[in-house]
Amino acid sequence: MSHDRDEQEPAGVASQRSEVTLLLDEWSRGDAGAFDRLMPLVYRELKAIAARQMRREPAGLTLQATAVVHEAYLRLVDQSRVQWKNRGHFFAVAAQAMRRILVDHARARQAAKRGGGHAAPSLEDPPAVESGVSPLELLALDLALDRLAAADPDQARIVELRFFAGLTLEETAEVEERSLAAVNRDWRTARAFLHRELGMAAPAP
Amino acid sequence: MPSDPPGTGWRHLRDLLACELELPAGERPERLRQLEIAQPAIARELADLLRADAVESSFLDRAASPVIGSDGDPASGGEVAPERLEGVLRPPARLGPWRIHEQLGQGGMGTVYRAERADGAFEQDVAIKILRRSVDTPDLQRRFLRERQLLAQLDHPAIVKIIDGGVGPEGLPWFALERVAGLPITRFAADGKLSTRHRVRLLRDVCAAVDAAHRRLVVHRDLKPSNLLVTPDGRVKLLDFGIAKVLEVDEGEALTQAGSRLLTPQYAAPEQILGEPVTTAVDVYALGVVLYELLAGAVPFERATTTPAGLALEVANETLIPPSRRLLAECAMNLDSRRRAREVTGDLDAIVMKALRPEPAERYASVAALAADLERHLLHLPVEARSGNRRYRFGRFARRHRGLLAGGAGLALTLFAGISTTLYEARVARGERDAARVQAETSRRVSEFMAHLFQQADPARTRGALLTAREVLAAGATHIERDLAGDPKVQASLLLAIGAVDRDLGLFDEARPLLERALDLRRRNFGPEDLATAEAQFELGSLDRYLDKIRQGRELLSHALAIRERELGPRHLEVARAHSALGILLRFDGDSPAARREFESALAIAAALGLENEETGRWQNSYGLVLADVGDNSGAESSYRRSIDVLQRTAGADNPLLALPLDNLGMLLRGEERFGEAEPPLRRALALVQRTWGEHHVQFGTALNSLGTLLMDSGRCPEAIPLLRRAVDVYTAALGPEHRFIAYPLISQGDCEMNSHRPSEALTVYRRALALRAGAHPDGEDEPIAEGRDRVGTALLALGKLEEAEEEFRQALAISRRNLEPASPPIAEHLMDLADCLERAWNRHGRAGGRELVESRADYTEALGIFRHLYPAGHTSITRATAALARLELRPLAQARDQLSHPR
Repeated sequence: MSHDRDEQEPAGVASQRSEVTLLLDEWSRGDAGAFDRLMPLVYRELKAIAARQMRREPAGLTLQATAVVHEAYLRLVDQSRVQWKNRGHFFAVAAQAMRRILVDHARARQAAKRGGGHAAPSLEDPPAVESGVSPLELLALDLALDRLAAADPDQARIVELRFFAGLTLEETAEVEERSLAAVNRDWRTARAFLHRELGMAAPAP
Repeated sequence: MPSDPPGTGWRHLRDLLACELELPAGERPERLRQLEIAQPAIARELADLLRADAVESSFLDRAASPVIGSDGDPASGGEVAPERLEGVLRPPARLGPWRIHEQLGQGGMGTVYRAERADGAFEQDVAIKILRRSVDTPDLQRRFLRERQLLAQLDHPAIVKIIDGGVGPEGLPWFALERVAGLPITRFAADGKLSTRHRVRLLRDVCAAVDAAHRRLVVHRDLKPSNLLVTPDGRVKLLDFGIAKVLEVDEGEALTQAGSRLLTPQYAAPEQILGEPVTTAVDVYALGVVLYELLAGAVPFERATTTPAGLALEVANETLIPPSRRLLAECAMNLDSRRRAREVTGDLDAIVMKALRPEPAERYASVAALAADLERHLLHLPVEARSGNRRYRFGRFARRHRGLLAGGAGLALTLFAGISTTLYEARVARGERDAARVQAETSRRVSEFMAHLFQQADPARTRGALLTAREVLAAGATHIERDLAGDPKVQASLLLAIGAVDRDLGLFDEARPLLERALDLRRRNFGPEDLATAEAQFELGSLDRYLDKIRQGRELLSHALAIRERELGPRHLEVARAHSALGILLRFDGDSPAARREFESALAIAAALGLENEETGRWQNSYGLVLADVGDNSGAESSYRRSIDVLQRTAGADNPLLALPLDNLGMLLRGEERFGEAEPPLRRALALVQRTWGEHHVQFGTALNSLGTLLMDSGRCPEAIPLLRRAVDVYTAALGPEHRFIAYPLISQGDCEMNSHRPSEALTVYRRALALRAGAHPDGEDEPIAEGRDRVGTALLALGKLEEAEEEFRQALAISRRNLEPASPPIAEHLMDLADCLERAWNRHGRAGGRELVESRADYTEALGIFRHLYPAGHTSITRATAALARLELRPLAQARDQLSHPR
């Protein structure tokens, strides 16, 4: 994960792909341990793809979270063998991993507070906001999502799938195996919850 | 939800909100008013939430960083869109004597097909259910067949008979079942608009059948409406008895967490979800859920979490709302639901609540007891259930199971294992010289290391705390220091790996000590001049830019470069990369002349190796930047153009990287006032950025700002203003309302207002820009603030507020004098503005303004001196300053003439 190199696609991609597909199978067949084995594989791939994007010195292309997740899906999951239910499991893991990556990063940026310099905006040196969301917003969202998860984990997961893995409502419904109407309702109320927690709502008249 | 226990308050509120949102907006106030009377606190919260729902264009509405396409739908991104996957297992054509026909349905455990006897023995139509979980060992298969025998003996008119069964290809077990035409019980009740009593009677019948199975020691374990069918003539038929048991992995084990995945969470008893021993009480619970659903029209808990740990957490936080209350909270509260709520209040509430007790021991002792209570209710006799508490919090239950709920910690841990192993391997693959030699040994050490790390972060040790990735990394680093001391080479590789991860995560301060330590170890074990040492120097040196440790980074990268040149020869890609990394660092440090030489070397090597690719295209772009820095505009221009050419040819005309040299080229041409030429590359960059990052990304804001500012410069303000306004919006949404970037399009907007002779509008936006800059540089000492103050001053000047303007110009000048060389363009510009201001003041005050005249003259003169120093003769700035001075010298004459011709 060096900054200045381009790694070739590792020879092990094919075997990694079948491993992920296998783990997804095991998970859907009830092996809870499969999730824990899946997480590092997915996280690692997300990081690698992200690093490939960000490594482009001095361009410093920022990371597109949802594109990264989808690219990881294509690389890691054997399209011809995966069952749609497992696809959902994959996105559940990936959304969680992506959330963690972005939050870690935002936290680091907040701590470092670098980049407050003089330079005029230039495509060369975009501020380090990998999610298209400011680090502060992301950190606040992370905490608010934790509070939502305490109240209703389903809703928090739907937000993760939508926001961090970039799934559409239809895809989210498919992944969650729930009706579009139910997912839409949960999404909309979760959105209101988060807006309120983030202080984005208009004040009471 | 400040005061509520987690979950309960919100869920209730959420349901109310969902109802409210389904109402036409016009009807909401009325409903809120009603609620206000009954539950003022809830009504207030609901009103808050409605306002929160009304927030438009929230960042939540786009996925974290929009992908390609403006609708935020990643599926529209072309290359990254995963195809929709409908695939399920293709069924075999035949199983045993049965020929498989079309699919009838699909459930959690498997897929059901219509099948008929294929051996011609006799005609029989059956349903064949092929299960998902394979039983692929002889032992499992034996057990499965034995279980099947038991189930076949279950003979009850309300239980669907198992006719046949076996293990198919791929070890998937299947059953042939009697085909039943029926509807799931809840659907049957809803379709037929059955009365409450009728619903209760149906469930009582179900209980009777389940009780019969229990007497034969068969527990269903997965009762749910889709397994409880009602035939058109109103008889119940139960499906899938004992199949969950068949699927259990290990007979000796209680139903494990793994096993619980086979269940349907909404109907599973808490003990099933928590992997505790299963008894007939799980069927009591599931029947309670079905009864609840029959009465209230919804399951008590939705439980859609997919992970066992998440489910366990969820279950522990549930609070049951009695079905009658649920009915009352319903959206379209009509007479029917009111009537139902009345019927359910009391006995039925109590029966449901007792069946749904989280503790198995507190539920009905048997399904027979549940059936008996339902019977008592139907006969209007007092029910047994009403003796207990009606509401029951899960608190106590949750407390007993806290240990289980902390399982998440393992996750963060494995994550680390994954990262560093791969990184290590990647490095090995990259050709570290002695890597192959030590690989076997190191991979053993690495596994040991990981194993140990697992123990370290055991939830028992961390007291159940969930570790973040960073904490695991930190734990790993400590462990490497302490426990791998005997094996410094492995130690160094791992430290390098973790350091690189930290750096890529942006954890620069954390990365540095690790990389330093790695470098130290490599130096001592391979010698200071080894390629392995160079690698560590390269990584650490590349980090130093972020830590403002430029001098150190420069030394490290120079040394790495020297080693690589010596070991690999001067014409090697790794040498070129070291040149480029050094060039980036040097430019960052402001030493563009030195950076220029590095990029020239990197590009010369690339040319000698015949390399032309994305990487060299990027180097060309960087080279252009340093040339522009040193004032070689024509060199910069051709380097940007070459970069564009190379990237186009090798990476494709729509490669996002192209946006960088295009933007750089456009801005360079803008600086040369070649506005017409600047426009096409800036427009192309904007299109690329839009397609790559979408319309919410900060890069889009920047591309808009570039083009908008160009158009403003070219005097095309009506076209520029919408772009600049949009840039402000994009920056605000992407970076927050206080980011300093927003000041740039604001200033260009203000310049447009000034050009259009609207100084008070200009003043407003300039002041906003200045406030943003003051926020970004709280000490008020930075150049952008000087620029902002100067702009505010010009607007004030145009408004005739000379004293306020003078103050702004003086501040701007003072800041720039402190920050810059004496002969700098900004200083000259501030001087010009200040002189202009003083000149007007003097003009206004007449003779009393002698001080202003003297100072104005001095300031113009100093500005002219700076311009002469900076620019060739005849430069517009020099002309401007000279003209101003001449005008000033003529002023007293003009005034004297005025006074002569108009004596007082």
